[in-house]
Amino acid sequence: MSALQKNPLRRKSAALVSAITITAVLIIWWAVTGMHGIDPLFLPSPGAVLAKFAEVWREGYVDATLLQHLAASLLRVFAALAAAIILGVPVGLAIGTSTIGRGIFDPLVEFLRPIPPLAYLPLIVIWLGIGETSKIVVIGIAMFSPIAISTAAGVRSVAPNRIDAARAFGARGWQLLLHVRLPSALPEILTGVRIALGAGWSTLVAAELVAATRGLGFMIQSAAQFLVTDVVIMGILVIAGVAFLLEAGVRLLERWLVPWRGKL
Amino acid sequence: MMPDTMQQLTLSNVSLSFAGSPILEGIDLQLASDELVVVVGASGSGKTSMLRLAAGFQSADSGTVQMNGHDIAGPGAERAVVFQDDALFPWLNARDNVAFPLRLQGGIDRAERIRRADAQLAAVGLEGYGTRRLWQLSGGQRQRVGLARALVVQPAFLLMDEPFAALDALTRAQMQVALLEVWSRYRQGVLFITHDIDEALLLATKLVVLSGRPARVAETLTLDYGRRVLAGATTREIRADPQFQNLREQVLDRLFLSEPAA
Repeated sequence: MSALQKNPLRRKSAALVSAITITAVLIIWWAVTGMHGIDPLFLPSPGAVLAKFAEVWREGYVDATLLQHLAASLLRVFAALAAAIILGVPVGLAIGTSTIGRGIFDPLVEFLRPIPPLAYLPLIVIWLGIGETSKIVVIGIAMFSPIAISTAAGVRSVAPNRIDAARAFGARGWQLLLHVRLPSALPEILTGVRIALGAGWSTLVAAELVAATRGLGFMIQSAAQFLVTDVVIMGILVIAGVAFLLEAGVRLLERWLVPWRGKL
Repeated sequence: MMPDTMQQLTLSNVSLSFAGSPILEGIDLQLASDELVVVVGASGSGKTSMLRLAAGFQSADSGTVQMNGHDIAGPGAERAVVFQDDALFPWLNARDNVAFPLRLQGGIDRAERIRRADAQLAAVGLEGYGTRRLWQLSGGQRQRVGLARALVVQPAFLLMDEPFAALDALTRAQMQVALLEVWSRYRQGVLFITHDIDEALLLATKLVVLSGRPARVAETLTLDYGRRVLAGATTREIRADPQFQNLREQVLDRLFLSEPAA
C-alpha cells in the first residue's frame, strides 16, 4: 500500500487537488466560450452542454432518450463481458496451468490483444451481419485478452505452499483447480475484469458504427454527422462518467469478493 | 485419540540432488508415533528437502522412504504438513480452513465437518474463533489454525517445516508449549524442522543434527526437555540449565563441524 493510500490526510488533499483541477478546466472552458469569435459549432459553452443533457434526457435525440441510449450501450457491454468471462477465464486457466494450453492459446491471445477494434470490425460485419451479435462480438474481443491474460497470471502466481498443502490433504487435478488455484487467482481475475470493462467501453463507438439505432456511440456519430457539437460533447462526458462509475463498481465488487487483498 | 497401532516412517540411506548438486547423502531417519523428532540444520542444509521427501512431494534419487514398510509414492492425508507461512486459504474463514481436508475426503456432511473443525480449533486454543477471517488473526493464531487443519484428519504423522520461524519470540515460545500439549494429547509422530537450536533441544525426544554439504546426519541425541515443559517447567528455567547450555554448544559444534573456516 502506498503512502498516499495509507494517509487519510494526504488522500483528502489529493481529492482536493483533483476537484480544483476539474473546476479550473470548467472555468477555462466557460471563459473561452464566452469570448467572441469562438463558434459554438466548434466548442459550445458548459451551460449549453448541460442544457442539451437535460433536453436529451427528457425528449431524446435520434428517436431515443438518453437513458435508452445508455441502456442499449450497457446491455451490449455487459453481454460482451459475460461472454469474455465465460471464454477468457477457462482459456486463462489453460494458459496458466498447462504447457499444452499455453502452446495453443498464448499465441491467439497475444495476436488478438494489440489489434484495434476498427481493424476487425469490417470482418465481423461480413461474418456476422449488422445485427446485435456483431456489436457484442466486437466489444467482446477487446475484453477477452485482458481477462485471459490476468487469469493466467493469477493461477501462475499461486503460492506453491498452498498447492502443496492441498495436495497433502489429497487434493488432485480438478479439486486443486476449483478449491485452490481459481480462488487464489480471483484478485487477478477481477483486475482483468476491471481492465476489460475499460477496454470494452472504449470500443463502444466503434461497435456502434454500423447499423445501430440506439446507443451512446451511435448518438455521438449521428450528432457529429449533423454537426450538433453540444450533443457530441455531452455524449463524450456521459461515456466518461459511466466509465468512472463502472470502475468504482468493480472496485466495490473487489472489496466484497476478495476482502483479503492487501491484508495477507 | 491415540493412534491405534504403532506407525513407522523411515528414510533409509536416502540421497537427493537438485539441479546437479547433491543436497542429502545417505540419510537415515526413523520416526515412530509418539516420537517428536526434530531435524536441526543451518539454512540451506537440506532439512526442508527431508520433510518434502517424507511428505511425498518429491522422491529420492536413491534410498527408500517408507511408511509402515511401504514405499511412499506421493502426498497422503496420513502425513499432514504444517508450513512456515501458514499456507491457509484466505477466502475461507478459520473454521472452513480447518474443515477443508474433511471436505476433500468427502462423505462427511457439513454439520459434522463444522462440529469437528470447531472441536479441533478449541483443541489448539482457538475456541470461538471459527468465523474469524484470517486477517483478523495474529500470526500465532494463524499457525494454530494451520495446526488444527493438519490435526483434523487425525493423521499418523505431523510434518512441520519451520512452523514458528516467522513468529516473534514470545508467540514462538507459546506455540512451542502449545505444540507439546497437542503432541502429548494425540501422540502422533511429529517431524519438526528448525534452524533454531534452542527450539530443537526444547521440543525433541530425538534430535537429528544435519551438517555438511551434501548434508549427512552428524549426530542423533535422545532428549526429554519437552516432557519437563509438560510437567510444568518454564522454558526460561530450562534454558538456564547448565546442561542445556552445554548441549547447545555441542550441537553448535556439530552443525558447523564440516564448514570451512570463514
